[in-house]
Amino acid sequence: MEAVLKIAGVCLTALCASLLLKDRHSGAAILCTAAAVLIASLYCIGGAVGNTVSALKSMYSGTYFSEYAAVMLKALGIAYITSTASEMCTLAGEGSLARAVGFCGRGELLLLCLPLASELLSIAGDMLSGV
Amino acid sequence: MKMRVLKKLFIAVSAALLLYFMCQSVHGEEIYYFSGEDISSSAAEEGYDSLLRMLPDELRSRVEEDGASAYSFEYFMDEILSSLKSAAAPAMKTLSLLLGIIILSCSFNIFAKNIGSGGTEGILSMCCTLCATLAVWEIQKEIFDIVSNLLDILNSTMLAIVPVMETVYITSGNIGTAAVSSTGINLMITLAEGMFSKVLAPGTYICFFLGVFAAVTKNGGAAFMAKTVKGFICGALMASMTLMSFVLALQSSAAVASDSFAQRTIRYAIGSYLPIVGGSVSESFSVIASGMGVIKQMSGIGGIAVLLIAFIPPFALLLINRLSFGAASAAAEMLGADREKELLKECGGICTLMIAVCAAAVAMYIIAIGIFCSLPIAIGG
Repeated sequence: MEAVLKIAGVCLTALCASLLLKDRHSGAAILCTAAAVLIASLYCIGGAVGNTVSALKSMYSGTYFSEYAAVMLKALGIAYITSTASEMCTLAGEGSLARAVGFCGRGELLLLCLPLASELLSIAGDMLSGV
Repeated sequence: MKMRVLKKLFIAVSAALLLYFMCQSVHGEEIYYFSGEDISSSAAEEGYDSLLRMLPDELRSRVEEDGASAYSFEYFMDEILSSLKSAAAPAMKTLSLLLGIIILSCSFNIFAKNIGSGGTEGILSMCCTLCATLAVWEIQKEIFDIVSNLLDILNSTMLAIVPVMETVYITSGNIGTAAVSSTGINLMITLAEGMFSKVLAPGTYICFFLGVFAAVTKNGGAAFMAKTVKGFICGALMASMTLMSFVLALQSSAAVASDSFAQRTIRYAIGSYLPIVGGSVSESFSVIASGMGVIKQMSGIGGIAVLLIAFIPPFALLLINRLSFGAASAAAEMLGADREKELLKECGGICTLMIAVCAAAVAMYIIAIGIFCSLPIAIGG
């Protein structure tokens, strides 16, 4: 609850600052918004998200899923970072940058998926060699 | 003239062959010794003990040493209950793991939908499904190992029972029946081993991968194909097992008839041509027959009990795992995880197929032992 209040406070302050700066200096307004997003994200990662991840890790440690849960969390992290960065770029009016970030994120996710897919294929290969 | 020469030649060759065969000692794979003194009240217990000695180590410790009389209805009920109890803990672990995978997948899918970008959402969703698939595969592999181990134990048990059956048959004068039964059961064991390595294992893998394909691509056709493959495997295995049991029963009956005829002829010959001593020898056949009957029943019932004891714990584990997959699939449906639901449904189907094959293998072996118990022994008339 406390964390949400803090994040909401930071975001609302940044909103006010952004609205005030928008007419006089639009670039500074965007930077202000970006700073607020960064602060909120880092606070989340350090607090609630970090605790959730460690709880999940302890929940799945010693099971078959521990390795794959880590991959899923990493994928979610990549997706969120990509999405946030892309939205920021779009907000600043830099569509090409937004697309580049999105493309990069999708590529990274695909790279993360590739070992899983190859593991699945190697299982299939082992089976075929055993038959 | 020519006919006479041919006749002489035939007689000469026959005489030479007869002489040759009479000079040869008989060599079998195993040599069975029998003496009338063996047929006592303790012989049946000894037959059962010899069966126990030949059983696989992991099974011998679980089998009662008091003899076939120890296997009551209560004994098997206790065995089933204790197996279910011991299977409950690992199955609960599996269920909790499956539920965890589903909940995590659902949460990730919700996050993925909130990301907004279509391409990223698709890849993230696929990544989640692949992770879930690999985790489920590990569970499926464990179940597969249980089935493999169970079939190995059943085959080893049958391999231990075959020599006992052969001994009883040969001692009872059922030479033909012994040959037919041992050949038939060895064929059954080969079939069970072959069906696991050549049919069930590849079939299961194919079904699993079709399930994965159906889950990842949301393709209903792949699920239908998996269902068809399962149906085909099940049908083919059941048909071959039924045919095997039928042929064994038929050939054993024919062999028993010919063995009984031969033994009756011998008894009649002894009883008719040796008036006083011959009668008592002929009577002693009946005493031997009753003794052999007791050994046969003891070994047969013991063998069936051993098969059931070997079958119950893995069967309970498979059954509870099947229920776990069913429950997890239902939970996935409730939470809206369609991909995971398809995958788990397929895994449940594979579990059912494995249960069916194990049950069929046990039924086939029990029928084989049942045939052994039900066939009359030749010297008994």
